[in-house]
Amino acid sequence: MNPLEITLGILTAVGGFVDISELVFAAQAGSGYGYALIWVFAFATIGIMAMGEMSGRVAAVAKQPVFNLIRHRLGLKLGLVTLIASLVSNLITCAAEIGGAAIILHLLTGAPVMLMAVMMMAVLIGTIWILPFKWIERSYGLLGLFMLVFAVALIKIHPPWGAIAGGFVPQVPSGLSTTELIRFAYFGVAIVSAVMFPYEVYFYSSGGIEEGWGVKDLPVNRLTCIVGFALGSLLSISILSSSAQLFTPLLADPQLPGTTALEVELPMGRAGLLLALVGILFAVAGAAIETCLANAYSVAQFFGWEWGRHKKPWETPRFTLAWIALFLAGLAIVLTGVDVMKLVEFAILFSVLVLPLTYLPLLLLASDRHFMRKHRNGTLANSVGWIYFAVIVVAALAAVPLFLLTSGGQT
Amino acid sequence: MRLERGINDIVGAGVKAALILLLSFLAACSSGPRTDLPAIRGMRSAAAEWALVNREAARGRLTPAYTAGMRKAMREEIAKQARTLAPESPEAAAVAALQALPPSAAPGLIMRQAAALKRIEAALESA
Repeated sequence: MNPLEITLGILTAVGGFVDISELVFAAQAGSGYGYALIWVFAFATIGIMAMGEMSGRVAAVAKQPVFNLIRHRLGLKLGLVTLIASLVSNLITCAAEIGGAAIILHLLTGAPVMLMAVMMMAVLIGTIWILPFKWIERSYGLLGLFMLVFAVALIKIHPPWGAIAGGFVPQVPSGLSTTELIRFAYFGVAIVSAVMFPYEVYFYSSGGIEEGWGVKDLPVNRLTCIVGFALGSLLSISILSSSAQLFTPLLADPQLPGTTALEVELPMGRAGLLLALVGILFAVAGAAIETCLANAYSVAQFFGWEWGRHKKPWETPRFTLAWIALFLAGLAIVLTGVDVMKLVEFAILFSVLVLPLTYLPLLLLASDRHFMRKHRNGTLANSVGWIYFAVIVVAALAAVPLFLLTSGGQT
Repeated sequence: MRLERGINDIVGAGVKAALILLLSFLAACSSGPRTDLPAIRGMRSAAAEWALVNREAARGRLTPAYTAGMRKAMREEIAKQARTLAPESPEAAAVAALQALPPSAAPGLIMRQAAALKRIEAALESA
């Protein structure tokens, strides 16, 4: 194992962890419920660590990405349902990320949001076209490390560390009305969905194939998932905690990513604001690339097309057309003028519905003796996997009613 | 094939359970929702965020592009939410006062309206 490669892999995972949904829901969870939802972030992070590790292991051992195995192992009908549901979920998420990046560019430059959305998409397409896979992932992941400024800002405001530590203990705040309890539950489901987005495992496992992972890479896979995702999650928890400390007394529930940047401006001034905006920009732009490529990977793997960014774009024409078309579709959604924050809410809702369809096949495949041989799930991985599967099934069942009852968390 | 059939059964049962749950919640939803609450909550927060932006802008800590973009976004959010309120509703007066303020209004003035909306919100929540 090359220590530099391991470090870069972990840093990339940290910088790429937060996306527009986590940013919005972490800030709103903090302003609405103080530190009481930190444990949900921690719980969901363990879930994505387990599922991410499984998806990477399946890619390294079976040498096949998740959607290819879904298609051949679980049959056409169920595979097609999963594919369509994932495409819808990832497309809405991709549109939300493009829109979010455009808003940040607008706040940085003053140029119109729609123009910034078009420019952003052109840059993203150019990036994927020009850079090899490893550097697509790394450039945005490493530049997303500007988000570390949120952790620095939290330290600078001297928060009540004891109360933050107490937030890691599972709890429901006392004294909430029924309406508030339902809203609290909605935020819990939304955070699980935002942290465990399905596109993350499609992208991660396909990335493993792109980089030619083998059995020797399993320790790196495990380290990246555990350390990288844990540190990334601490960034989300920093955003939540600063929001609880700074915004609650001011009656503000941050509705835009631009407001969340004030968490850094308040203790660190104008330089902090700019660093926060740049960090959000790269984190969100990186997530846009991941969602778009995840969709293109899924389609290509399902239908057995040539795919991969380790090949030249013209060597994989259908795959190349797919990711360009998906970017254009995401941009088209943004250009309709739809509220980006509404897109975030819908992205969360659709994703949580897709979670069981994504993770059930993955769990089955990771436990399969025929495919995984001695690298199949052990007792611990299986137990953790099935516990999380049960939780995401409950979350998926509750998501739509909670969304309707709370008007997307507003009531 | 057995695996596929098993999974199809699990998914089918899950979909049925979700539909039943959804229908029962929809039935619950239809009985007297406090329809103005989301709008009031959204406007209160937008007003508070607008006041914070103006406070920090007055201290010279924000960039012109950021200040203008945030003010515009918050005022548009307030206008969008205000359109969903009935014109004769008691909260409409507070919202009208908020909308009458200029983009660079003093933070204290904006916060006064945000506090008024917070009181209305609390009353609606406890109703």
